[in-house]
Amino acid sequence: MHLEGEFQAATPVARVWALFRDPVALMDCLDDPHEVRALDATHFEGQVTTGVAFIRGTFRLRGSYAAETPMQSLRVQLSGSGMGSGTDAEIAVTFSEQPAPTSVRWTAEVRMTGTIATVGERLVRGTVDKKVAGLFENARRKLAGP
Amino acid sequence: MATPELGGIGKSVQRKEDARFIRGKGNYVDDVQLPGMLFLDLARSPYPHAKILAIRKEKTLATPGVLAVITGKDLEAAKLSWMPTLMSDTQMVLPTDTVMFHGQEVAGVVATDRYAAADGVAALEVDYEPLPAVIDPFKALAPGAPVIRTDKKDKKDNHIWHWEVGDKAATESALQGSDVVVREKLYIPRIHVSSIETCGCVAQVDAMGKLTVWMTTQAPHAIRTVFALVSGLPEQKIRIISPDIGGGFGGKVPVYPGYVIAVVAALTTGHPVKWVEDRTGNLISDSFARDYHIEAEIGASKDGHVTALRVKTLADHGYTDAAANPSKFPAGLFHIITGSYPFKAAFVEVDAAYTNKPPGGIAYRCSFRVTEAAFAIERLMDNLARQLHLDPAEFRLKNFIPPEAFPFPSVLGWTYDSGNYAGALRKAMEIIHYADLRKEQAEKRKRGELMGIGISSFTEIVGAGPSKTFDILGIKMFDSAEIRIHPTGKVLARFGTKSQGQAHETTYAQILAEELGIPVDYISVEEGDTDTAPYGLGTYASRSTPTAGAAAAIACRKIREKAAKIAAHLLEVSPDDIEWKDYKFQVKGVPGKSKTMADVAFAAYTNHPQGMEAGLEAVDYYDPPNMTFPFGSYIAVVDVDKETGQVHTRRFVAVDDCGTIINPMIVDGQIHGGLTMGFAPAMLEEIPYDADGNNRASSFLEYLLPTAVETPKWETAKTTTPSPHHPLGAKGVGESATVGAPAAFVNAVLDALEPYGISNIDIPLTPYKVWQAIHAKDPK
Repeated sequence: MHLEGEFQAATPVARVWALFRDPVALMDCLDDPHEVRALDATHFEGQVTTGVAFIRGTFRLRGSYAAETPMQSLRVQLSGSGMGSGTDAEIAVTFSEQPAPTSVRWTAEVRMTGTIATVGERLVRGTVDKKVAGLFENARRKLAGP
Repeated sequence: MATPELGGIGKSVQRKEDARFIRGKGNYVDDVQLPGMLFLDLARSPYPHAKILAIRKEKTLATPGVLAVITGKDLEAAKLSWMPTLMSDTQMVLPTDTVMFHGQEVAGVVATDRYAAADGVAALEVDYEPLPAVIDPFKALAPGAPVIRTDKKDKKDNHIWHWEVGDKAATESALQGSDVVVREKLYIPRIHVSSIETCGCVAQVDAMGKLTVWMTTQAPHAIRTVFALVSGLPEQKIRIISPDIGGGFGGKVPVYPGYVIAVVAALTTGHPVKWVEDRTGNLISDSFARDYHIEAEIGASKDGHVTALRVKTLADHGYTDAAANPSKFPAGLFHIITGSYPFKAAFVEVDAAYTNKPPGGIAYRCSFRVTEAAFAIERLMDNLARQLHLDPAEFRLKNFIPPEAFPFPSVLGWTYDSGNYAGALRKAMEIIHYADLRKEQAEKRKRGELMGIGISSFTEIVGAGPSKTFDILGIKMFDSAEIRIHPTGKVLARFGTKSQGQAHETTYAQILAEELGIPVDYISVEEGDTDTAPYGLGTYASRSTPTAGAAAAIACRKIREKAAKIAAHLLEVSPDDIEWKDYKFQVKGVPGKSKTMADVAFAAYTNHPQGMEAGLEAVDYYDPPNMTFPFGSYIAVVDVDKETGQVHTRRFVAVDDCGTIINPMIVDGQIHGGLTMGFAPAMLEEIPYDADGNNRASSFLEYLLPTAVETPKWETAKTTTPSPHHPLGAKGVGESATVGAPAAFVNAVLDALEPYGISNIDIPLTPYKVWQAIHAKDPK
């Protein structure tokens, strides 16, 4: 499943970069209840309680920063598992100071396996779209604040 | 009306059963409709390992149409929450306090229709407390691993059993004395038979208390006995009917919880109850095949003769050992692993581990771990040939057991009945133009193109079994035929086996036609009803023709013995003057004076000799003196795209030898199906679990069955080396191709990748895995 979007952050790129490079702060932008902790400079893990279609419960979350060019781009690999399902996502984010102060463009490739995959992409796309878009919208709001 | 053709052995008679199948008139379990029938659906665990804190039924019971919810606690009161597996382990019908794998049945919901039952399952509230899941069998056996089977008193680890065969010291010594030793680790992943018809049953209890279960089972008689032993119901009050079955492949041998819960529901509600699992339920909870972690060493002299084989294997059985192996052989017939070669020394050991997965270790169209064995030896033979710089065909031809060595005693304890391995391989090489292909490959390699040729020269072992060695839960593995000739010369034949698509109605009829001289069209074959068919162990492990087919031939010969006396009576000669010739009883030396079996049958009811019992029928329970050993040689030709890892199978030649062929068309059909089911695990199929124990192939979106698009074109041929101990010389063929094909594909791909020095890629050989292997050696 391919998702993409962009938003304008009313703050300098350094602050935007800092948010996206901090897994705990970034995952705090999830609407669903969650706990995330950094394992080292590039890896993090935690859990999130969420629901997609009829599959609801607590999913284990593992993530890593796969590639990055400071202040310009980064790539996050996420995998979630639980309730007989699995989700792998690769999120690519690019930052630009045009238009100023910071433009954030993101794409996400999401692959679902197990029970959740049996629901079918057309049925889950709306929910997944909403959750991913919600994360970036929350990030935008956070960056708009003090 | 003209008499129809006899259609005896060796004729490609059209499949009698297809008259109903191709018109959609088959009668499967889900076609069974009974008045007042209720429907069962199952709630399943989303966790691979968890405590059940509570099951709240209220919302389910309030769901329109729902009549009952059955939990493990309900079954516990009747001592039915656990049941034995076919390997004398125990498995849950429904859990009382702990779930052991993702997808495990947690409760049954009974309703007036299947949609209401599904709604009831969705409304069921179950509180779980997740527990650590043990998914990797190596970690399961590591010190300190969480113990999975805490229900077993005194069980302190996850080790199930250790089994070994062969001479350890002699093997060690032979390996040390070998000029070349090749070591390889092979993982044969968990796969699922995925028959088109999932499992299901309809259970009914009549007014006299007799339980009838229409069930998707490959072994109805054994199931009836197990039901009687577990439930305490008298065996004569249980009738198992196995109607038409849409594929079994081993997956319909075990007893699944759904069957038992449906029976309990029928007994408690007084209504017939139907349970038919959905595809996801089938893929995540029914027994699995393979899951073998093999570590093997093979030695040879520098002149290219094999010396010794040592194999250490870890088997992942999931949370219970529910395999269907003979009691004596917990690792099945894995010790056929010396294959087509006369090893002087070999040693095999297998350990089995519990993990938080569904039960594993059943067949996937192969008899008792034979595919694992054939795959390992044929992969090792290729790697050894490469190490010795020998052509893999030449290396095999140098090492085959020669035809004159049969019956051949293998170093691991089998006595191979007959074989001509070099004959089969030479025929395959001739058909595929092997020498030309090697030249083409050499030229392509110069241009950097990846073309591979893979050989697999397998020996199978089927037809269980001699009862002195083979049993299922103590029930000896014979099989049976009961044949009755009616006064008009028409025949009713019943068998202890059960066809799942193999065309027994045709094959058995052809055996009878050959032995009795009665046309196939006049013969009705019945199986699968325990109230009418003679007791037998069912159909799996390519055992039907080797056992029940033999029983049919012998029962016919018993009939012929009596019939000859009746013919003598009719012809007014001494029985000693009668001979069976040209499908008739003839007076010796007077061909014009004869009686057909139909003449004799009429007389058997109307004019039989005084003092002789009327009627013309016989029963035989056949206990084979030995297994049969079909074999074959397969050659695959592949082209590999180095940029994408995509493998294209250009040609695949399969030469099979299953002894005497009853029906060439049916045998060809079996081989086509078997080859496809050999291609599938080699290239596509796998049931992977993530580190947390979630099944990640719970639908056909992820569990990739080959379609006509992916399936290669098969070229088949035969050699015929009859079994010396089978009454017809037949050996069984249903599984040969599934056993032999995977190694041919993998050997072909690795042959293509020879320039990179890659000795193994674990199956399935997906494009990504092949690309990764190439890329690791050549990152450009």
